[in-house]
Amino acid sequence: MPLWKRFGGIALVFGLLLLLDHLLYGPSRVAHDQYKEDVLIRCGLAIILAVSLNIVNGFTGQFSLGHIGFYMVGAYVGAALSTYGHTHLFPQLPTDGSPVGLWTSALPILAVSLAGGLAAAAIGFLVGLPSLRLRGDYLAIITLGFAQIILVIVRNIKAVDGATSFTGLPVASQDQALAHVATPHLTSLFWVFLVAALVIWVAYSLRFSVHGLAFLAVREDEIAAEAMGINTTRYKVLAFVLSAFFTGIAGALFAHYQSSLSNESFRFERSIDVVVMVVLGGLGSISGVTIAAVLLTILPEALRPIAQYRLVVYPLLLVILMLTRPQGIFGREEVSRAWLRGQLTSIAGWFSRRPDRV
Amino acid sequence: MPLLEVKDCTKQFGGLTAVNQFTLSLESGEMVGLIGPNGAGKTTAFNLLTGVYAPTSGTIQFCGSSIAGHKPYQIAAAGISRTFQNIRLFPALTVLDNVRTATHLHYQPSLLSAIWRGKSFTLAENAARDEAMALLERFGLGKYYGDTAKSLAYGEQRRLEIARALATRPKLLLLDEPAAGMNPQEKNDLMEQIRTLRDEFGVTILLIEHDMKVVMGICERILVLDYGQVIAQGTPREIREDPKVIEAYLGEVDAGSSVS
Ligand SMILES: Nc1ncnc2c1ncn2[C@@H]1O[C@H](COP(=O)(O)OP(=O)(O)OP(=O)(O)O)[C@@H](O)[C@H]1O
Ligand SMILES: [Mg+2]
Repeated sequence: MPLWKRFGGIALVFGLLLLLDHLLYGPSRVAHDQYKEDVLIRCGLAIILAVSLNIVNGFTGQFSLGHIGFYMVGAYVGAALSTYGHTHLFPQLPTDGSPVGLWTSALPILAVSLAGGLAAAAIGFLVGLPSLRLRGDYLAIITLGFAQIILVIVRNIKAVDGATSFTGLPVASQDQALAHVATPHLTSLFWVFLVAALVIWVAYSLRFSVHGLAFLAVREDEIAAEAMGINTTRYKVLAFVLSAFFTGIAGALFAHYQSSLSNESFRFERSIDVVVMVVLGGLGSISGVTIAAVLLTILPEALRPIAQYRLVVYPLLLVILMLTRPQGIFGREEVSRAWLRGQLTSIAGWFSRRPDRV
Repeated sequence: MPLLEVKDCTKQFGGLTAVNQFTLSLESGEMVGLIGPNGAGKTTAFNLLTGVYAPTSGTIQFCGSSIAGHKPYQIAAAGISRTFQNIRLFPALTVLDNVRTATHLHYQPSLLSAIWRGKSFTLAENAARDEAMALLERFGLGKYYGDTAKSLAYGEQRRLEIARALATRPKLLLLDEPAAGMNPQEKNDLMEQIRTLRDEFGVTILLIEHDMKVVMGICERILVLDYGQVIAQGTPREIREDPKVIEAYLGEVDAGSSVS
């Protein structure tokens, strides 16, 4: 790809994200539609989580149920860094947890994201190395177990109020207003969708390179993959670590959006939510998984008007979808022009089919 | 120095000795057949050579260094590639991607450069694609490049496996019953394609095949395995007349014709 095209593309993404950011927050960044922001941020985080889980579950065909553990590691490591390091590293940030301007938040958010991502990647390596020798259900169970262990460990860390909720730190100060350092509110739409774009880009680049084929070969047939010179263990661990890294970043972004961090956010069901996005989107299909992440985040919101039936309708929709499209809403292919054309012809064929008269 | 030197290789599965004191020496450029009745241990011998199993005892030297007990991917990197008796393609990947995957061994770009997508990356990707496409054309599969591997007909899947194995640029190619399940016409075509492989790709070939006529037609040297042991080896003519071979096949069909 020529350089101008690449930088053109990057500039375009930045421009669009800035526009989105500006549309929502306006210049003052104080008064804005809280509900809209909330849904959009959750969509962005869901994309990051689903696309990175897809690298493990979709590309390499290993079944991890434990990614919520990496999300948690990222969240708490990130929050601990910004809160404890506040006075030394980020003195420019407000201590009351009020929203931070986009450019003021740039360096701190880079730091906490990297810290959260790297910590999660390291844990991912430790978890992955022994577990990835198991397959299928066994791997699912052992990753679930690890996520549970991480939850229990964090709950017992007093420094981040793991047992209750982490809102910041009391500090020794005469001044009443400075007696508490809140976890800074760094995350805004721009950062979440910037990371989402990055994760999608990385996933696409991998998927359509020979490296990506090595991941897929592991899913397709491990014995054949080894015979073709692919170190399957290495690629499985690589996928796991990469996926944990991005999941950890999502955790750090989440932590700096919430005013308090509670272990309730990292229950096992959240893992399932993301697995559902990946399966519904079509295991392995990056575009499908991205769309499913957005749909499944918005769907419960869209069902709000029928609030009392929501908990029935939502699972019912999932069941119907799985029964009618077991390969995922969009199948395992990428959503592309050729794909759309194929779908349209098959729908057209469906309508033009005449019932047989006997 | 022989390309491959196997000495007294034995593989036991519990009480069953699948391969017993297997000894084989291959010179570079040879085309050798490995035959034997069902369950004789032919596939197990391949599995030992490619690291699927480690031998219970014995040594395997390839290009002068020991590969016994190495991992399959290391052995592939050393230059041994194979096909499988019960086809093992990457079923959901396209025909082209099946072969592209196997170019992995001599694919240079790092993971990071795959993300950055610089010039050297594009060049390497194009080279891999061209090489894979050329191999597909070579086996008459070019027109199916965008189809999934599982959608191919049986005979085409077998040819795709050979194309994929060659994409690793092997020194030694192990073919496990490449013509199994093909009709006589397809079988002849395939054997003709295999015969020319050796010169075209400079590869040494060891071939398992049930159809005696086919093996005798293209191999200069044949090894006969029975109950895990090499009971005879020599030229096709020597093999055909060897009383031990005739005895091993007795009760199946006479040794001159098909024993499949
Ligand atoms: N993984 C294994 N565990 C136990 N026994 C095995 C295993 N693999 C092969 N065997 C046994 O070893 C013997 C040799 O099997 P092998 O598949 O090597 O024979 P073959 O010569 O390839 O036969 P065929 O012509 O049917 O392909 C058989 O008795 C088989 O049952
Ligand atoms: Mg066999």
